[in-house]
Amino acid sequence: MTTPDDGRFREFIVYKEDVFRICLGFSRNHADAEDLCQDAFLKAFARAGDLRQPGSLRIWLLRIARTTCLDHSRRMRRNPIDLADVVPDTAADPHTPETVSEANESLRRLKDAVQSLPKKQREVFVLREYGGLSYEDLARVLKLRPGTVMSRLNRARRAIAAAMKEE
Amino acid sequence: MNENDKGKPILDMPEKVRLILQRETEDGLRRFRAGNFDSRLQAARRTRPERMKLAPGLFRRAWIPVFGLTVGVIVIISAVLWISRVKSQFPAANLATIDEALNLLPGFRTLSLSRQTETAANADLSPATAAMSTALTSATRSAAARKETSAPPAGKLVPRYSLEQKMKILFGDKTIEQALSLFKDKFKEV
Repeated sequence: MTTPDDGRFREFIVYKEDVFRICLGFSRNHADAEDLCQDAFLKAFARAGDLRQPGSLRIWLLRIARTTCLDHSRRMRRNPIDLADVVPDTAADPHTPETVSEANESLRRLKDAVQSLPKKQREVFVLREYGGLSYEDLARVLKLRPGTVMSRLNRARRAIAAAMKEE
Repeated sequence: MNENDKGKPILDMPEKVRLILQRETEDGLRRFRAGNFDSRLQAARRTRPERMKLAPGLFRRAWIPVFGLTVGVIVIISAVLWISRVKSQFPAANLATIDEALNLLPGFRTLSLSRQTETAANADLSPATAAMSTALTSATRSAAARKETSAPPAGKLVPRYSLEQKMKILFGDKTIEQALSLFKDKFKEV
């Protein structure tokens, strides 16, 4: 027997990968991202009554995910990124140990660069590069004009490119 | 390279960075799909502690008016307590005492004596006559008060001064006395 709660759960969970990708962009590693994803969904279930337009469920969920991740980042600001935190699971990795190590180092540098971005640029960068959102969706999630979104994204990309080149 | 709404080019991600991002995302998604997120989330929903549940929208910011109301009530109570305390420290002036003090002055003593005489005279009369006499006396006093006569000779009917009138006379006398005292060393007449 299906309850209305189950129906809502299924309706929400369709977007779990979208939410996870954003959480992954904001967090340091896969485990943190999954925890953040879970927190975001729990918040969404608790606030389901606030959802006025069911058609904009995806945007609404992504907005909650963004807020959850930013709150988490604020709490963790004082903790420096540990290399061990960003090393991905290598058990199933077909590459050699050398290439894996190099990739992990590059990933750590990228994570550092993303974390050091100003908040406004970071959220645009993560939503675009990890979440794969269109400019229109970005503008809707962040409640900004598309032009503002583009200019922030441009600045963020320049900063990331510069940071990756320097190191 | 894309363009933003102002026609400025938007920088594309360098290929190296794009590859790192792609690899991280794919790896993350692969592990995410392998895990059992749905059942974990369902379990978390069931075992979610009460404290994590959000208050209904109506009460989420209810603390603001409640706080304002509480502060307002505290301020009002404090003000009332403070005023009552100040009042108890400085009791209201006793008008009867001032009246007695004024009556001790020579001019007002004459007034009081005349009033006593009048009362004694009325005591021998019948109630109706006494009432008539009192009314006549009052009328005479009112007329006299309008003329603002001061310190009439003893024994005659004199106007009954109210406390306010007495105070005016007293302050008038005091003012003149002080003015004269300022000139007493300069003029012989003073």
